[in-house]
Amino acid sequence: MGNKDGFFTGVSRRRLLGGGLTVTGGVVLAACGETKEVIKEVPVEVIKEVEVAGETVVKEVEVIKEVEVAGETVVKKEVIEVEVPVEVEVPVEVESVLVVNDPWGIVTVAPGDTIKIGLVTVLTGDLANLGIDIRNGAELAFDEFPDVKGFAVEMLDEDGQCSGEGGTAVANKFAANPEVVAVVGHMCSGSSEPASVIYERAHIPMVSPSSTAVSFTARGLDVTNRVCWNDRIQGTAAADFALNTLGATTAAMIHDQSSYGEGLVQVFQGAFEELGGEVTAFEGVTVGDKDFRAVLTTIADGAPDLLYFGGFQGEGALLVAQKNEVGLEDAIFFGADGINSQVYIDSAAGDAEGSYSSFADFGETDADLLAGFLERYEEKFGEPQGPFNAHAYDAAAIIIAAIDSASELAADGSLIIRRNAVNEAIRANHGYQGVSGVIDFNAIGDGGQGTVGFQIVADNAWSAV
Amino acid sequence: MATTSTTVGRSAAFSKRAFLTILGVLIGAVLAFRLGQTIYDQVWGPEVWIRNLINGLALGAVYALIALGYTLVYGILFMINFAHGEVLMLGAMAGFFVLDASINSGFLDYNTLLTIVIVFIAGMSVAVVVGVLLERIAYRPLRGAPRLVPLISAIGASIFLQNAALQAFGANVKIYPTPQITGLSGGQRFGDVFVANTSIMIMVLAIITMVALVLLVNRSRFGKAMRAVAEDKPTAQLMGIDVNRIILLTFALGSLLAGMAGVMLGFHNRQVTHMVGFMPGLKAFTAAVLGGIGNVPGAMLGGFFLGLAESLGPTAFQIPSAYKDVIAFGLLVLILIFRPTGLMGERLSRERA
Amino acid sequence: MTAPPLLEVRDLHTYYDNIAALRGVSLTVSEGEIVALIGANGAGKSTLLKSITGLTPPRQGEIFMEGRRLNGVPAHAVVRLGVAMVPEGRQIFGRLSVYENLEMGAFTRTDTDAVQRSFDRVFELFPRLAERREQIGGTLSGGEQQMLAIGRAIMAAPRLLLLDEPSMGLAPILVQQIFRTIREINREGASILLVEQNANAALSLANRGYVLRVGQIVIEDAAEALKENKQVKEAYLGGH
Ligand SMILES: Nc1ncnc2c1ncn2[C@@H]1O[C@H](COP(=O)(O)OP(=O)(O)O)[C@@H](O)[C@H]1O
Ligand SMILES: [Mg+2]
Repeated sequence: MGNKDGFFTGVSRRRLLGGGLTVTGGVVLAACGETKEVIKEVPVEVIKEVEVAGETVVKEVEVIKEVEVAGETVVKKEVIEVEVPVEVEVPVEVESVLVVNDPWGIVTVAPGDTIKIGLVTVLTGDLANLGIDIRNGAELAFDEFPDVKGFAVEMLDEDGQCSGEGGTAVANKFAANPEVVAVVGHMCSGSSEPASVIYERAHIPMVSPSSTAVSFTARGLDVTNRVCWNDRIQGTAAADFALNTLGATTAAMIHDQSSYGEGLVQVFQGAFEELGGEVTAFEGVTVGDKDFRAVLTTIADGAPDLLYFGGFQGEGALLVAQKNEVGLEDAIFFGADGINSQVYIDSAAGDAEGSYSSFADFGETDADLLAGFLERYEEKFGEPQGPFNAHAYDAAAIIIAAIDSASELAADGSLIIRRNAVNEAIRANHGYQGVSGVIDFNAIGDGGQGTVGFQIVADNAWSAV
Repeated sequence: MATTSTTVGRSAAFSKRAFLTILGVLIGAVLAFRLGQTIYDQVWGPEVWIRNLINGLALGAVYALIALGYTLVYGILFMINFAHGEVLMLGAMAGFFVLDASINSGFLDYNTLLTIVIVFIAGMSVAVVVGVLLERIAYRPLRGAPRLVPLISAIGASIFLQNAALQAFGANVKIYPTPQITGLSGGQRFGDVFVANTSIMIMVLAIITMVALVLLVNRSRFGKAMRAVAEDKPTAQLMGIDVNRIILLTFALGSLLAGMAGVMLGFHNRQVTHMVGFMPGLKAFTAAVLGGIGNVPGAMLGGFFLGLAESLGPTAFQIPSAYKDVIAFGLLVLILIFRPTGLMGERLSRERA
Repeated sequence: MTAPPLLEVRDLHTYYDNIAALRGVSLTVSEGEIVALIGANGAGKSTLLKSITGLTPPRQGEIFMEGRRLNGVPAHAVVRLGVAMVPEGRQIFGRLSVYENLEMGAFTRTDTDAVQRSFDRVFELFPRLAERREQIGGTLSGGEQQMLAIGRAIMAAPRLLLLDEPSMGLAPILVQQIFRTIREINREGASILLVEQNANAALSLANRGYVLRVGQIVIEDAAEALKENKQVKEAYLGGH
């Protein structure tokens, strides 16, 4: 078939579009019988779209051609067929179908295609148990709300690790995919924060089930939303619990240098001091290190009643064991949702007994709703492995509902989703009854009201205080 | 002409030395001032110093054991075995699986000491096998190649082993359940200072091992052959020494020490993953350079020096403990600037130069 | 002469990469003999010794030691067949003590009594080494290092001793002493292949001699005859 070295090749797609024509590179000229030298070929008008075949459209285009015939240059008009890939990310193409305006742009889902929603947790490494728990919660929502206006919802499952690099990599991948409408996630604040900057530019709203760091929403980005609490709530409640329930008057702060850990510990410190407690030390530990005796020794010098730890289960288990080797055996070990897992207890191999953590309790929740959710969860996935599965369910459900309210069916049967409208629909949830509790979004995207619960490790299990 | 250029050369050399001297004095003065301040202000009680001294000795003992592996191999082949940390990791893994099996089978319950010994033997054996295979597969075929080539092969081997372990054993943390092992749980109290039993085990075992190693290197037939091979391979062959065999045994010896260190760290820190060899490997390499790479007493000195610097540095200079890696690698930079041959390496390098 | 020679080299070709250093060298050393191999710098003398000991294996030709083929025998196994070498430039182990250097010489021997006798003999031949047995090799003087290199070779109790320019860089008085020792060793039963640039001294000591030029043997004769050979006189004895 035809002359591949025609005019269209190598000319930028944008320039041609600017000229009012949707003819693009990689063209195959269909009607090309004679063996003449084509010198120049200028498209004039698209006459009609002939055929839609999967990913490409065949169009009839009128072109002016300069052709060399027997040494003479002849100019003539000709109608040719051009095959072009379907353009999804460029709204101009569908303008003829339906006029939709959205400051963030739109996503068109062709009939038979799926609506793509990212789900970013941690699927490998030390925190995989927590990540899989969150994924399970979200998956349940995807199962129960399988479509929007007849368009199937597809979950794009990714591992964002608990790191900036991991989060950025996934965010870039999603940003490059014009079909991704929104993201459930990420799991860790340290992954969510750098990712949010990319989503902000790509206009992809995110709803995190578990990124609790103060700084996640405090930066005032448009796309950052969460259904869990802000750690300001957790840290403040924890400080109160430490002082008034556990009776600790002095406390040492330890964090894992993540946005989550350090942010939480800062909130705790502020609240603890305000309540009259004394903070004896503020130290960071490096994730992946296994020997924290040196830092604990320094902390032991201040003889704190309590060690408050902002971080995850692996480092928590090491700290709770190693504190006993440096003269801190009487200090209470107190962590947060990051250590509220069985893995923490197992990793500490007995030394976690008597340590405390806060966790995302289900506050003003509908008891039946929650019970039903947990029943369905356990039926499908077994015992929950972390504290955020219900939040993940809510995050996914809220996104799917928001897409429903921010989308229209077009005349050609495709679904038009308006990106900004999705984000606004998410934030428009006030008094939403989720399984994790009542969700009420504020101006910066904090939706979780969550009641802070506290647990203690007794007989190798987290149990109510 | 010749005279002029000599003079220029000399003054350049002089100004470089003067610069280094001034820099050294400045750094020394700042550190000494800060240390003086810490001591004078009595920022820490004496037990903090003692506890960190003990932490540092235990850490240093492990670094020293690992550093010996780097230094033995460097001494004999002039190459850095960057996969050494992964040998340690696989030793720790092997120890874990044996320990796990002995717990599940109930063997541990009635024979604790024997279990610990078997765990060590398993870790060391696997490490030896891995080290020997590394030499045969990744290094020996490159014996005649430029020095950069086996180095790259070593880095490749390191990444390969990390990922192979990740795929084979999964990413979840493996736990050495020390508290369930009588004798290794808890610790001893000396006045205000509590020393974990695992720390005591590490120090005692490491010191015995190092004494044995020094005797082996200095006194045994194998040790002398190893030193002869390190110095001059063709002449060593003329003596009837099978150079390839000595190199292989040197790898085996270094790996044995790494396997031992891996199991020690397993018991001491309890958590083992496919990444546990990485940092200790890098630190021990630093220790080996610190002491003068290729030098056996240097590796031990470097190991203890680094362990103590890491654990006492933040205390002495009143900086957050999170800076311990900064201290460790900062020391490496300083040593490379002021004493590129390491603390104990000077005479040797001059001789060789 | 019906008995096979102790060492027989037949048509040896040795290459460094693709540059020929030996091009068809044939040579014999009989039981009890001292054979001198003389030649200019770069003629291939050291290469020949290294080919015999397996350090630079030949590409072509054969080597027999007491009738046993040495081709393909790894360098570290050659010493077990009774061949010891004092390499060019001594090559003692500078970081090992004098005693340890000598121990390395006896690396393959297991008969401790016999090894002890060898120690005694070396210390008898070189009392300086006995005085300095704990000293680190690298700190010895040049003459002492040469004594140590020879002593180390004696420790292997060789049937054939290969010496590569033992007089190099030594004061004349030391050279005499070294040569006397070589004769001594020979009297005690070891045959000797002596490579020298100092042709005069070598030929005075030797029974027979070969002249090597650019990788080929050009003259072979009794030592006395070689000393009188006009060509040899001009080329190698000129200065004396
Ligand atoms: N390691 C080597 N690599 C390449 N060429 C060499 C090597 N050693 C010796 N040669 C070359 O082989 C030839 C013979 O050298 P050699 O046996 O050392 O001579 P001699 O001992 O008679 O002075 C010389 O041309 C020398 O340059
Ligand atoms: Mg020579």
